[in-house]
Amino acid sequence: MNSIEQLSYDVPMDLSAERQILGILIKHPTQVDRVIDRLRPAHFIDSAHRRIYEIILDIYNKQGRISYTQIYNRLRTDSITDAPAELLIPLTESFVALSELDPSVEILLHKEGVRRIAQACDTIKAMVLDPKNEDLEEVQAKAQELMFAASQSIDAAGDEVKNLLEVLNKCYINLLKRKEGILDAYGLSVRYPSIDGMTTGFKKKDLIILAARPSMGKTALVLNMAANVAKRNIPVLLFSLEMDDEQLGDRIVLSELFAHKEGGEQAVTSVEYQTKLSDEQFLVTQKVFNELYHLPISIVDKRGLTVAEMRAKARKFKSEHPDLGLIVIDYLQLIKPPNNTNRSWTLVVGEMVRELRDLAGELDVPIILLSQLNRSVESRDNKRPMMSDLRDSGNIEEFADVIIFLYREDYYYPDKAKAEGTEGLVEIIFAKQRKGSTGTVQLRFIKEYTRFIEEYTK
Amino acid sequence: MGDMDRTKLIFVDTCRNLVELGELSKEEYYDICDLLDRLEEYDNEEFKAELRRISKGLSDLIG
Repeated sequence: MNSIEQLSYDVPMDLSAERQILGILIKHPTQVDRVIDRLRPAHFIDSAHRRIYEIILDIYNKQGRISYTQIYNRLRTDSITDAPAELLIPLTESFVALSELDPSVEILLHKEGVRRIAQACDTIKAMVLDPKNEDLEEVQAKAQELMFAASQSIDAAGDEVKNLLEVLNKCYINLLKRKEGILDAYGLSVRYPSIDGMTTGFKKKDLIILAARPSMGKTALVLNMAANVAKRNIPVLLFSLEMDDEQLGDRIVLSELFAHKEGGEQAVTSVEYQTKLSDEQFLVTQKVFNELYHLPISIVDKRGLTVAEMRAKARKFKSEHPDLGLIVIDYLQLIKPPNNTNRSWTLVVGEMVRELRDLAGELDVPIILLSQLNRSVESRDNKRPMMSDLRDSGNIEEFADVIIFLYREDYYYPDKAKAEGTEGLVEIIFAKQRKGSTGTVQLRFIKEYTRFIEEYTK
Repeated sequence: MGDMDRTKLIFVDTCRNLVELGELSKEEYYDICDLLDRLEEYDNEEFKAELRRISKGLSDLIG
């Protein structure tokens, strides 16, 4: 039997540690429970050791007792080798103290981690040098994905079981931080009290769907929220698949100009901002620019991005900005589906949404995903969006932690809204909250400034 | 401890070869394996007696 696979580089390994672990497990079978969720057979680079470890796990699971004779017989009956004694005798010689188990396991975990990275490097090199791979950005995204996967802790499974003390300790630390004002109340505040009141802040790892028909103010609302978050020096990453960076920049500036106008400064209207400003207006606008320059908002404004490409960019951004607080994606229907899929659009969209929810979990950050509702909303009398309006979009309601709809009465019934004084009022409908209640709050939308304000501040 | 395990393995290996030579039945072989796995439960005389019960021929062979 050829024990060690032939690879292109010197394989990082420690055969002595492998022997020590097997020797200890055969002598102390109950110790299998300590290593079973940390070590997989693949952690043993010597194929005979790997097979012996598999046999140990199998015998222990079936019988709870392990011996050299049992393993000997399994090696023989499974025709793994004609000379089982030759494989097992070195293990009897390597038996050491039980206290050596954990350090030896650590060595194997480390070696496996190094091998994974080395293997990823090999794969990346082959991919990069392959003349068929012409799309550099695609290659970069794939390379990043491979390296990220390789560098993930392979011991992560050990963190799955947490005792209550550990959990409560974390809760208590957060409680103290909130008391001292260091941490936002529970989740990420977007500084709209009515929204924060409903959500108690957007939670890390949550996927929040913000859906509406066109022109309801989806982009404006998330830009307002993003700016509010960034003003507390919390980095925000914004994927804009529709508007380019300048359009977004202008919207952010306009929104802030409204705040200055409300503060009593010289008004600068949207039209004036887009055309020509007086000297006084220019000074106000310049002041707004100076205030916004330092905001940690990063924009990716490339059209036709796939989920894989966004994931790669988000991972890179997170590694450079560990305190990333919010990701915004504008919007779902413009995400490019993966190539070569024969599945229906509904399934593809559902899969993309699920992947984005997984990304929120992986990066430990809330993701707000904007989504456009189809025309079916408008074919009924009550045009307020409902959960069933999402059904055609890949059952995204299943994967979302929070679903918010926007509805503007004045969009559909302008005369009625004028008569009732509800012009500009936007209903923020919380149709689903996994960790909170459902309900509706209202904000006022100042369309010409793309600015949402709390109704009571008007 | 390591010496005992090595000795057991060599003994099992020898027994297995005897099975292939037709000198020992498979039933006897597995009983011997079981006996070796519970070796710590027997003193020297008990072990010999148990081995004799399983296979008189093998017991005579090793004295």
